[in-house]
Amino acid sequence: MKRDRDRGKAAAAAASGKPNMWPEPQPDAGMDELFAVLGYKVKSSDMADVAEKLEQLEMAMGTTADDGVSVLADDTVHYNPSDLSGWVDNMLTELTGESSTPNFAGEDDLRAIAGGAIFDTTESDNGCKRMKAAEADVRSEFGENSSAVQQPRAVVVDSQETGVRLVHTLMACAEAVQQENMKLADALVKHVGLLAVSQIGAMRKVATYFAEALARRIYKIYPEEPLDSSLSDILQMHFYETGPYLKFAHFTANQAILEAFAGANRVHVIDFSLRQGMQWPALMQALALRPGGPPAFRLTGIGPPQPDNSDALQQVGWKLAQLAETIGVEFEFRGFVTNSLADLDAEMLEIRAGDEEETVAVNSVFELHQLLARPGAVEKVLDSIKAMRPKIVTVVEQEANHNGGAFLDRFNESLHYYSTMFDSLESDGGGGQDLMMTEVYLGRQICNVVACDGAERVERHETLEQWRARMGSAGFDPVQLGSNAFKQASMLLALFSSGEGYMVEERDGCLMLGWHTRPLIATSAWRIAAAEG
Amino acid sequence: MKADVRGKNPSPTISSMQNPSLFTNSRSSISGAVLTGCLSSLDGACIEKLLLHCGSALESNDVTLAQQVMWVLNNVASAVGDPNQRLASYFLRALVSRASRVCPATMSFKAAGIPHRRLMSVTELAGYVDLIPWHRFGFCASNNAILDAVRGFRKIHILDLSITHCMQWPTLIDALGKEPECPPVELRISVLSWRPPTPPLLNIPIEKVGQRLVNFARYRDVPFEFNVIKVGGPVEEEETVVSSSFYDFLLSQLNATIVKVNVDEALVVNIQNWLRYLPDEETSLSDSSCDGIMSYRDSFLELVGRLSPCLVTVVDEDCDLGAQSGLASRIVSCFNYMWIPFDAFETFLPKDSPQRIEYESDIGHKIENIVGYEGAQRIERLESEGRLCRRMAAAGFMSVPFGEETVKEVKALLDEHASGWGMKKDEEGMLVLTWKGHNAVYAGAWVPYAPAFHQNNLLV
Repeated sequence: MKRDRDRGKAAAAAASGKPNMWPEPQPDAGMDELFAVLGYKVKSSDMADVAEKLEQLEMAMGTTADDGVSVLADDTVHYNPSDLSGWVDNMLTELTGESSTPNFAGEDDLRAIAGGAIFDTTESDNGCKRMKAAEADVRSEFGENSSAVQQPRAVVVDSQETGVRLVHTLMACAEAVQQENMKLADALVKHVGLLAVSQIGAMRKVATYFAEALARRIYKIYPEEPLDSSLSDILQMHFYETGPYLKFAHFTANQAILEAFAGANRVHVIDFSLRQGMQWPALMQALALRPGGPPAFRLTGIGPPQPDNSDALQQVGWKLAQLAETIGVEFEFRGFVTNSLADLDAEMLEIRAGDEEETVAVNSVFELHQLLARPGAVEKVLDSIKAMRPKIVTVVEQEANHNGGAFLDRFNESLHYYSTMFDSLESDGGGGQDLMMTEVYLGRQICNVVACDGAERVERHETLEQWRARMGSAGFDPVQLGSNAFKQASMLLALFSSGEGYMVEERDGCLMLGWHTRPLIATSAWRIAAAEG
Repeated sequence: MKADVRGKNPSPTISSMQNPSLFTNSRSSISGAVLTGCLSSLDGACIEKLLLHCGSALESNDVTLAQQVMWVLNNVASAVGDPNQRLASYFLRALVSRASRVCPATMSFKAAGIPHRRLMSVTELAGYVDLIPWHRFGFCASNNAILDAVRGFRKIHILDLSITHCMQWPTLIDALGKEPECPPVELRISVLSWRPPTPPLLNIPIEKVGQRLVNFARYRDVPFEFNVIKVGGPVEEEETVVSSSFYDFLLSQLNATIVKVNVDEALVVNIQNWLRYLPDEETSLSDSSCDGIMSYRDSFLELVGRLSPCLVTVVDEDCDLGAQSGLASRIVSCFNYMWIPFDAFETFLPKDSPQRIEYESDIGHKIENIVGYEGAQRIERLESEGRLCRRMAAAGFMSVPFGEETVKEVKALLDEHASGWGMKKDEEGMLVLTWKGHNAVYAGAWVPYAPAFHQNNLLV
């Protein structure tokens, strides 16, 4: 829902000569409507000043927190949240023990505290009344004695209410960005930081990552340096260890591949992102135990170039070869280094036919969506896959639409998605480094979704329905993931009993893993459509 | 076997990754656990190796590796397949249950892995006992040894510690009824009010069982009395709090007064599939009447000795799953042992028989307890024949070999069952029931060395 914004009407220059990071504001007489929507009665013209106070408060709060006593962490009394400036200033007073202005007497005080009239006496009645009402509230809280504000009094913030405010502020900021009202966006992003401090756990982390991503977009500090792929692999390893997501992907995809390989004497798995190859040992072990003996197993691993020119793919290949030897499976490995799957074509993979005909499985875990950043890339890759004549194609993707045309839609979708995901990881209680690195891993995705655009925005997640349509029109038919895959997924969830909110859902032969009612990951399997022979 | 890895040689720098452990087990303490060339059929040895692999992963806290092995096992296990597959499914369930618990509970002493279970009627219990000679073997050997030992006594008192709800005694009462004694031998049987929380579970209380025995004895003209010795508070059969204070209390009840030992009675202590539920960890016990560091099991045997029984019969399952076994070796031992009843059921019952599913599920609970728990919650502490013999000797007992008559009787019993069942007698005179050559259940008889041996130890 769009509003008419007075974009040009920005705050007057800051009253004091203190430095601020804001661009030169423009004169504005009225209240900022957006803030009004949020319930904050602040004139745009005074925003600079409010912002300044926010900064001061942030610093004061930060200090307090360092003492080990963060009053903001508690659910304590909060009064009149709608009077932003007054609230800020009262908090400042509480924390620093002194009023920001020397005088405090009478109705004019709050205006004085605000360092420049929030409301002129010439302000409309409406505004004045509200202000007066606010004052009255404030004063009744403080009691009759005007110096009551000096009394030590448990402050401040109702964290649940702040949590709601936090989400609203994030969304308001995103909307401001979409409107290209960067100054407002900037103020809001700072406010997010303030509110985030009062939160704990997943909420705080998610808000921080989204705020950072918004800030990058606002200040145009993007893209962040791309991680070299070994570090990116490390991060994904931690994600693998934390929570069931990547394991769900492997468990279900491997089951589909194992079943597709039944009866085949030579098999070939093409892994679109080999990374550390964690998916393959279990499959190889199961193939080794197959009644009738294991098939010959060929693995083609695809990965990005290494910054130091080391051959990470070969290292993984060697390790898997050693495992294969131990378990008695004939093994062959080939690595392909490429920046994009679209640069590969089927011929390079040298699929074997005739005497050595091999049954092919193509496996893509969190890779296909990246192709959507380049026009035509995904179509090209899907065509290449068809040329590989696979018996089965396993696809695991994030179950979300983070690729909508409007920034705000993407933002809101991803906020919901990553909040849910962070929530689930919080419950695992695994803690420690794995969790921290997983958050960094997810934080980078958030950053990409929010701060980037064009070819750099690679985290273009789409829903199962969208992929279904794309695969269908590219000439693929769905393959039902059977009950065994569901059994595997259920067993995995049983292993994660600490996170009892996880759920597995079957939808039209695909499997989804989610947290409470929200699906987060979807595994699907495909084969070339019958008509295409 | 070709392992052709094309491309450049790997560079010397190898980024250190967590958990490459399914590749090479240089970190693992059991490198031999990596499966080697299990080809063709998925035999028990392969499954055993998988289970061992999983167990050692859990022991070394490598949760990821354990999960990967479980994924493989999930493709092998089947509750309706062949014995190995069925067994694998229960083991997998136990492993998942163990792996999913964030910390193995040490605080609660409730016997673990025992949810509400089906109660049998007496008829069903009789059917269960008759199906395979698992229990009847022990009944037969013990009853014959008892009859030998009490010959000449006018009164017999049997302290019965078992899990089969007195199914052993009709045969003995019958045998006594047949003896041409005049006046007839008087029989008294005492049981405890507590029994280990394990199947078979009966739908009537032990007092009712006693009543039935009384009626049966009257019918056979055998003077008979049945006592229930109260131990512990009011406890449900299925949910028994087995804490150390309970065992302390239990042992404190095992004295001549409470057990009502009479000098004119021949006392027999009959311990059938019961000893394994007494903890065998060596701890310094709260009861200072027992010297030094002993386990409850040892203390119990000492107390039994002090009752000066004229015979102690012990029957139990021949497998070492006690305090001393680590998880991985326990899994392997348990798998190999539990294969025996599973294979026997396969021989005697159809694949989809509900009875079979129930019996297997009962064993499944046992497996869950053995594999899934540690400490006081792990109540199934099986002990092999050899270890038991040493334990009895240390507690001051001398073994009494089974007589020829007994051996004959047992053989005759086994002949009633299928040919897979066999028996062997070892040097100590103990008898062991075998299935296809594998040791299943042992039976032994002992007497305390000399009554003075025990009375010299001052005790209440």
